[in-house]
Amino acid sequence: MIEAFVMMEHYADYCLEDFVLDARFQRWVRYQPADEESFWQAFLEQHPQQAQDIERARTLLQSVYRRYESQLSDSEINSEIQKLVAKARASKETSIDRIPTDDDLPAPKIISFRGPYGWLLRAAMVILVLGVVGWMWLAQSPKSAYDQRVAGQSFVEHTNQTHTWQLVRLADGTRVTLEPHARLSYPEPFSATKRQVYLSGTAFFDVAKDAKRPFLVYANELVTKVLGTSFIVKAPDRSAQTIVEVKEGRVSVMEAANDPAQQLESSRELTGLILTANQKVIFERDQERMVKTLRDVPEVVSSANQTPTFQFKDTPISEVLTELEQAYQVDILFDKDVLSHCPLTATLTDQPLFEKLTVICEAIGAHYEVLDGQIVVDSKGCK
Amino acid sequence: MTSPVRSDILDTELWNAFRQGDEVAFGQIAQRYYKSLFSYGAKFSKDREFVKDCLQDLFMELWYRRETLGDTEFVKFYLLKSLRRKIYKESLKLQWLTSEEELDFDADILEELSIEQQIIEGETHTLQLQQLNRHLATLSKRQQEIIYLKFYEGLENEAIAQVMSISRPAVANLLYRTVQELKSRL
Repeated sequence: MIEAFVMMEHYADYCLEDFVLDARFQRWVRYQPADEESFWQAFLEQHPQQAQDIERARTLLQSVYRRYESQLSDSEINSEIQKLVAKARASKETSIDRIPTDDDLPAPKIISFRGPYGWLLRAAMVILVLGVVGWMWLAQSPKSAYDQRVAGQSFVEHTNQTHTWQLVRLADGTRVTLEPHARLSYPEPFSATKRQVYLSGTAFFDVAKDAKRPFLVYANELVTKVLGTSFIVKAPDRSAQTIVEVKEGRVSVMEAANDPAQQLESSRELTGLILTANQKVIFERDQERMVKTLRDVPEVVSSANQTPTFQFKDTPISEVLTELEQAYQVDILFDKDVLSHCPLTATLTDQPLFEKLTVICEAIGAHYEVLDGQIVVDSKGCK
Repeated sequence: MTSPVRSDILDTELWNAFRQGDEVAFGQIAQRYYKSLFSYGAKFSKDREFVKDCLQDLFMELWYRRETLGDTEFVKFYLLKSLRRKIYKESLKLQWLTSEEELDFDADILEELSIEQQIIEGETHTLQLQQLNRHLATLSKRQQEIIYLKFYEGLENEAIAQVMSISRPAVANLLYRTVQELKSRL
């Protein structure tokens, strides 16, 4: 009460200019919170001579707020935030330190070839040159799929020569984040019917939506086709596996060697092996075998309007599993009749999906496994 | 909606969690500033997707630099300033601007109030608002930006000076002059 009185005296000789510049006054006009409403009403009663200035100051601010308000829906904001969180998480999983952006970071330090450690750098250069020559000699033997595809084409090529991830923006709005040493080639501009790119190494793709021009990633033996979504391709030339992981949306994956790859390229439908959110495919290169499974750490899919809290109180397990299904957009197979009688009380907000499932299964003496990109919960009902 | 005047200073706990690499805390921080930053960015470009892209890059830079960041009280100011610089550089790259030009601060043309709004806001008041709106539109780009940063983003003069790269007395002068001009139109 005393505090309010002191505050009121503070405003006693304010004029219009002072009011419009005052943060507290601005907050009242802009958001009309209950506490401010009562404060300013009381102030007006005690200082009626300032009523006109206050009214005019309000009008002035209101016109500013009206004029500069931007239209942005909550779901638009949420989807942008979820993208950020997913990227931050991905950067941790893949232990990227940071992406050097082209201009907003301080200029890199110039490495001196003179100075105390100059000899070391010069020696390193020699070894590097020898290394490249040796590698070129070895590389006479089979060329990588990437080199074969790119040879003789007039493509734009990006090679990430830094030690951190690097962002490449394509003309269609697609964003590709390349791991160190990864290489990406593509025609510029893209053709009118498709957007094809060639990858060697690991990259994260955030593909701009364009239903008329499918986006195709050629990497090792696989072609991944999408209409607009985000996913990761791991295709180092010499690794034993080629992996495609989907964060959001749907992609289709096919062996590039197969003839129907042509079909995959040209059709607008997704054919081949379809992957949906949180699924991944592992291609064992020596056995030429594809295995569909789930990502190691599935993520809540951002198109859902709200982030679920995963708090349950006497909730039937069947509902719990359905909520997980929707949040992660994965298929969970279970016997609805058996599990609708089992209640669960738990807070599972922070655990990754597989830990959530472990907790749920322990509670009812069930177990789960991942089969063909789906989760199967096996239970005899609760005890 | 929370008031930016109150939430400008982040909880230390949230900020620390973010600096230690908690991506959920990062999301919450981004959430808190997103609308306000978008609103500012949208004054320099009508291309919403472009503004969103710039914001994605900006926040990811914040994430990658999390370990070297200092106090929380400057976050909003730092973000506004970086966003302006980013939009400027990207606009140069896309050749929307030449290097002699400056960014234009420009709000959307407001449609007149609907009948319902007029009834709610009262007739004389509405008239006044519309007159002021027309007058705001005739202010110089710099005047508009100052008004925006002061009233809409709630920045201190010092911070406005840094965001717009002009001197602090210049901010104070221009702000005072602009308020006087608007006042005379009331």
